[in-house]
Amino acid sequence: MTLVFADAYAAGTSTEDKVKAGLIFNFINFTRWPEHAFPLENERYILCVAGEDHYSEIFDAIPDLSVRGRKLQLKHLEKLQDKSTIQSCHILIVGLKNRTQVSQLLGQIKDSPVLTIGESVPLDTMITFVNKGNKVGFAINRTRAAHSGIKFSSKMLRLAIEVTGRGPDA
Amino acid sequence: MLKHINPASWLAKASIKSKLKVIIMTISTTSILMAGFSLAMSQGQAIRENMVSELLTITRIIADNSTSAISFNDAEDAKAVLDTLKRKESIVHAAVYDNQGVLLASYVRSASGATTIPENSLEGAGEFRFTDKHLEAQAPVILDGRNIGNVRVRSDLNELNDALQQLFYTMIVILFLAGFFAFLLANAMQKIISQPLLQLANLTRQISHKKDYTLRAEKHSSDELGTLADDFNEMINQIEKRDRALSESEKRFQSLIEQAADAIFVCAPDGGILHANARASSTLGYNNNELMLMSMQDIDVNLANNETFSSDWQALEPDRSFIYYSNHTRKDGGSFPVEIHYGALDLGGKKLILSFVRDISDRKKAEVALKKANDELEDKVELRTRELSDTNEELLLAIEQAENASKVKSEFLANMSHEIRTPMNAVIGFTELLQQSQLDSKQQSYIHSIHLGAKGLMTIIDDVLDLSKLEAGRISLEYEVVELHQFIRGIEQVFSQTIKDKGLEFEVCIEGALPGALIFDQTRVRQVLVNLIGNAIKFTEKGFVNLNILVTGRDRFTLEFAVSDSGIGIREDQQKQVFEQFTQQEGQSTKRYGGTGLGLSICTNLAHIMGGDIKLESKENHGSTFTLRLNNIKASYTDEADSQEQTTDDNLFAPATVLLVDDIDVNRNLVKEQFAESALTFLEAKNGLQAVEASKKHHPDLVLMDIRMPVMNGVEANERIKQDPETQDIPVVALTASIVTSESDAELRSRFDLLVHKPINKADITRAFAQFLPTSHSGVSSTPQSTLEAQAALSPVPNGTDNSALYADVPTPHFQSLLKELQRVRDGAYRKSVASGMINDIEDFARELAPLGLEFEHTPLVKFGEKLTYYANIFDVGKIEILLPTFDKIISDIEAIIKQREKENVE
Repeated sequence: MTLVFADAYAAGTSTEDKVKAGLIFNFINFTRWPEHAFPLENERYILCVAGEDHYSEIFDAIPDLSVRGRKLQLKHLEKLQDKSTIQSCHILIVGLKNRTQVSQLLGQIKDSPVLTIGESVPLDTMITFVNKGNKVGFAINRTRAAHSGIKFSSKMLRLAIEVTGRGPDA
Repeated sequence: MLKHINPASWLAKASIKSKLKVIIMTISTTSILMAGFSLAMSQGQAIRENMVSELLTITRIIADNSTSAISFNDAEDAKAVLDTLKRKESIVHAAVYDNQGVLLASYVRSASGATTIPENSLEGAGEFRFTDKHLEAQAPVILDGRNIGNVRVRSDLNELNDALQQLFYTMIVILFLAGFFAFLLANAMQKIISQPLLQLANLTRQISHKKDYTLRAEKHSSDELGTLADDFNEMINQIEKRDRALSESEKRFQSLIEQAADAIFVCAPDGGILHANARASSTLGYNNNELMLMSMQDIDVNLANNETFSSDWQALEPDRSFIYYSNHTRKDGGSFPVEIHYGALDLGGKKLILSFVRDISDRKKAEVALKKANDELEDKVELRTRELSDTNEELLLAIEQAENASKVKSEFLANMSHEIRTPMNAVIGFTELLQQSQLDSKQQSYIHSIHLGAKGLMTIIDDVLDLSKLEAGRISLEYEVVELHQFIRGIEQVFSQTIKDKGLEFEVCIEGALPGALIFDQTRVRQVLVNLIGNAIKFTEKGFVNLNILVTGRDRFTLEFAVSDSGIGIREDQQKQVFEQFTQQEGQSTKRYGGTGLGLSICTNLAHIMGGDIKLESKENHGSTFTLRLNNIKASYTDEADSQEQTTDDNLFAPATVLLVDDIDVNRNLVKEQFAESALTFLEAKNGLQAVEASKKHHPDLVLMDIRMPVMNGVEANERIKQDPETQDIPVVALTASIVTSESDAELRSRFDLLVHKPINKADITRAFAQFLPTSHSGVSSTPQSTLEAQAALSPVPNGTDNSALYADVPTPHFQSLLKELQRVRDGAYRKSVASGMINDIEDFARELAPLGLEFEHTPLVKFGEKLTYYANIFDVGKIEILLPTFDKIISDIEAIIKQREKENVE
């Protein structure tokens, strides 16, 4: 992964979190889940946070957030082994530092259409935040995404610091 | 000073060609301009819109592409996106803003050099706007329905301007091309209109210039211009005709004026001669050129000197003209009198004076001569008048004398008639007396001779007097009711002695249906018959004299008295002569046969007057037959001796219809008026044809017809009436002018029932009517004096009276006694006197009657006696002969009265 330099933010501050929250939101905007991810209409985007949760506050603070008509619902994962719950997530923000935990976690949703977003490097999440300087960038692993049936808009792809893997054959 | 060209006036003055071209060009260029302009406008608009659209699209695309850049707040990416705009050269600036309006990235075209960052100034201004040099567009960046930012793009207008310029130039080019072609076409096509017009205009100028009216316009099309050409030609036609007519008329007038017998001048009011004809020159001796330089004052002295004349001259107006007499002076100084007719003419406001001058020197001479002749004539007339009045006086005198003479003659005749007869009667009477006295044979023979001579003389005298009367026209017929047998007996008696003496046979034979009584003038008829028989006896030595009477007819009778003898007869070639006056048959000697020879002519005249004729049939040595024929004799059917009165009484006639035929109204009216009071109804016809028709239609009782008429004359009409069975019984009385000869008279007499000579008088007509029309018994008539005498002489019974009424208060035994006495006398003295014919016997008879008359106071008897006595006294044998037979009538009348009374008593 190579780092993309974004705008200057003060890393490690709540501003950073806000930025990231914004980015996460944006990711949702530019990501496509497969159909079977949302069997029901008006189903919300279930945003799961595992580990450190910096974002629930921020998301909760913003009312009526929706992407493409779907609202966001934040969940905090208490148990890391709750597969069903994990598999019900659309977005999983991995705030764990422990690699083993992360692998374990990710292994549960290996084939599930869950957008995984990691906070630190190196992780196996589809999107990984990358700090470079005072900017927050992100890296995208397409292979993992493609494996789960998740697609990313090229508009986002080109903004990523690094893009690995290959997208689905269209 | 600038010369202003007023386009409007220039156009007005321009030629048709120019006008048309200008019109066409103006229209076409205007159209093209308008079209081009609107096209350009729309094109320009389209280009602009295009441009806008394009820019907007670009902007929107950029916006779309910038969603992630703005979302991720990636300025670099944003910029990268913007940088793609460099492909569009016209874009000079572009900028991306976030939804806070913060510029995220911008793009500036390097070439422009400008580094101004497009402002965020389109806020609320729509998607785009044009500034003077730029077009700016903006588009929102929408992500998931949320406006997350703005993209603004600014483009320069070069493209637009270029496009517009292009458009403009194209338009210009097209305009010019079109204009050029329009010009060419205009040039060519205006000819369609202008050419015919110009041709026509040209032609008109030519015609008016050359005055050649034979030129005509060509017709090239059948539109209004073609019609114009036709109409123009038609107009020229008329002008040509009129022009020709005018020139002919002018020529005519010119020749009229030039050839006029009078000199004709046309002058100005001041007298200056404007025109003079040839005659003027010839009479005055000046030629036309000289006259043109002169004025009327030079020719007419009065015009120069006479103020009145001059002012009259000036006062001439077109409706006032006058004739003036003056003298004109010739070139050689001589003058001649003239009669001038002056008139005025108003020619286009200018007054011209016309004078027609006639040389009246000839006329003057003639006038003088005429006056002289007139004077002479007056003298002559005066002289002649004087002579005439002298002659007139002489004439009047002569007339007076003639009238006197005539009067004398008439009186003479009247006297003579009586004066001659009286002594003659005396002579005859006394000779008769002598004959009766004691005489020896010698004396007897002397007396006999004297008697004969006297009688003969009497006859002659009668004849002469009759002839005179005839000639004087004094004979008028007296119609009476005559019993024929009686009448004939009377005549027989006259000759019985003579016949016996001569030893001749005398036979009387009456043939035909004889009515009781006929109406005719028995005196005259007797005269004729006596004459004829007398002649017959005279010219017959031995044998017989017969009187055969033939009566034919029914209502109207024709009597033919044929006196035939076995005498010497009359040679054929002498037969005509016999009827003429004063001639006797050749070979006769007055001595032997006696007579003045007047008799026959008188008889013939009498016969004609009575509406009959005398015919002669004779062969030498084989005797003669003289036939007196009387036509249209009416019969009287009344028992009473009702004599036909000679009267002009208006009530004479019973109602009857008379058809008057005469083409002259006055003649008819005359008759109508004369009988207006009578019971006669008159129909009228104007010619023979109408008469025939009227006769057939109305069947009048009598037709009184003129001979000479148009359409059909009286003769032919009479013919037709007689031929038609329906009308042949209608008596037709002819009116003929007295100049008709005796031959044609005879001819007419044979055709008509009666002939009346014109001029007609009431008496003639009455007589004519009386012959054929029924008479009425009403009213006592007044009779003219002359007839009264005859009546009194001849008829013992008052006419028109009813005997029974008259003697109503006389008792019957009275009559019976009278009758007895009368019968006695009749058988005695009457018979004797009739038989002997002697005056003596007659006197005895009369003497016997007198006391009877006195005793019985029977008027007819008394009258009879008085008359008889009177005639016997004057020895009027003729009258006695007529009177005697009436005695019988007196008796029969009395017998009738008695019978009637007996009848009444029985009832």
